[in-house]
Amino acid sequence: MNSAVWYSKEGQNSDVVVSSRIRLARNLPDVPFPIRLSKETAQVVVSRIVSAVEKTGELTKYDFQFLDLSKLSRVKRLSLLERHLISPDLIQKSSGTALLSSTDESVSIMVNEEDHLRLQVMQAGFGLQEIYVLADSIDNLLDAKLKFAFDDSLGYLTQCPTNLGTGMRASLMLHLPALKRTGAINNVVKNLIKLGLTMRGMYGEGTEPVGDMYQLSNQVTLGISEKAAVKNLEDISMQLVNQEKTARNELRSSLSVQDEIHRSFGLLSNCRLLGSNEFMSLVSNVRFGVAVNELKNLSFADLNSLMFKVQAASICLEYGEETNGKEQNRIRADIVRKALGGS
Amino acid sequence: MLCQVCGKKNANVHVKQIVNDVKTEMMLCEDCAQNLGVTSAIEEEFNSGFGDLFGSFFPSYVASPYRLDYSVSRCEKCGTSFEDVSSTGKLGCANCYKTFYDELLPYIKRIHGNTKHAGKVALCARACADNCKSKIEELQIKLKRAVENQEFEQAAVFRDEIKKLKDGGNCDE
Ligand SMILES: [Zn+2]
Ligand SMILES: [Zn+2]
Repeated sequence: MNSAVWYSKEGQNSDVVVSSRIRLARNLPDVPFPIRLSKETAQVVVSRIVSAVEKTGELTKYDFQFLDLSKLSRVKRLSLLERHLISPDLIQKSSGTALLSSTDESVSIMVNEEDHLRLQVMQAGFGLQEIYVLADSIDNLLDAKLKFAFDDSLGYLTQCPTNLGTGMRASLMLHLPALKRTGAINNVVKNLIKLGLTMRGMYGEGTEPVGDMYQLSNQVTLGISEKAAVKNLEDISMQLVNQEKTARNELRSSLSVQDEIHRSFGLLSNCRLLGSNEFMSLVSNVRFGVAVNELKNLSFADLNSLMFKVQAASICLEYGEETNGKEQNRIRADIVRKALGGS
Repeated sequence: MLCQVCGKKNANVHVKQIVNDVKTEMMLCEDCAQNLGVTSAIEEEFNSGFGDLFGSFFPSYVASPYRLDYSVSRCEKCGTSFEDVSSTGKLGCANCYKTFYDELLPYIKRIHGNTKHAGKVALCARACADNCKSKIEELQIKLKRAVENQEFEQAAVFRDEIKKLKDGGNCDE
């Protein structure tokens, strides 16, 4: 795995904010949306977008890699999904779809998913405003060539009206083990809805959050500017970050919490078989331990990389696409043990 | 039955999944199910917030016999009917928003609590607006001059052109 990828870095408030992400949904004005797109026209959309990217000198520094998703194996596509580069729709339906991604995978463009173009910028830690500025400038460069579908009163026109207006989803992945333990998280989630935000488990609505990871995003895209939406999300998430830090300080002296942290570290550095759900809940405790200084010599960047590296498809990609579940658990245990300096 | 993913082993896991309101069912072997177990959970993350919301905002137009006449009007660019939109929650092309603007507005309002864009303006729209503005100014000067010279036929032409531009006519040339 490339050590220069975006998630192997550490950002602002990395002890609580795992990553920041901005997505912009855009469409060509003169071609049907993907739901109504013929195979041939889908290819035309791919070529137009690829050529716009290639002909924009300012974008050469990203060194975009082009992937025709219909030509990739299922495991390869799943591993892109695990790295948040493509959506699950593109696992089911890959014909006429493509991905362009920068070398560090922080900037990517998904073609013919729900919209003709989905531009995404990701960064480790807290930093929505910075990545919005970047996404905005890339959007302008592409707009100059592609002339995106836009209406004065409805804004950017998208296949689904839930994205109308700015077409922007901003989100933060937050690690909230202390708010989860104290139970305060339930109230937080209820209050966020009133503020036009949603909070889900890392894996989406209705799922039990895995590893105390929560994804906070804006819900409304019409009637609010990008800057206001980003600021709103940042302000509220900073309040959450501070609440989480306060709760951590209260919990860190508890013997049972300390026990849980060290026990989890012990399991991860000694196990021989490790399922992905077990890994996520243990690594959450370890991350918590690093944040409250119970565990030393480990960085958030190390843990972030580890979380990406030991996902099922990523393991298969590296150790053979035929690697079965039990074999994956053995490999996962080996990788984690080594990363934590176990024997 | 064989697993629908690898097609090699016996399928003994039944997986139901709802992606963008479309329910899919699959029979998988244990290994593939475990592979997917991790990722099917991730799949939801992508879908929530995009799309799954919309369908539920529509009343059942399709089922109502009184509303069937809605199906008559179709987007002239892509052939989508309002029935298609209400059953999928998705539009067929950018022009569908023009075609079904009045029907869509109440739902847009319910989704966003708003119907007027307040964010960034696309470059072409901005350029078009600037272009229109300067053309209108130019025509107004010509109109004024024509009126002063009592060239009323010419003046009427300029007046119509100004009206067309102000009504949001095309100015891309
Ligand atoms: Zn199978
Ligand atoms: Zn249409």
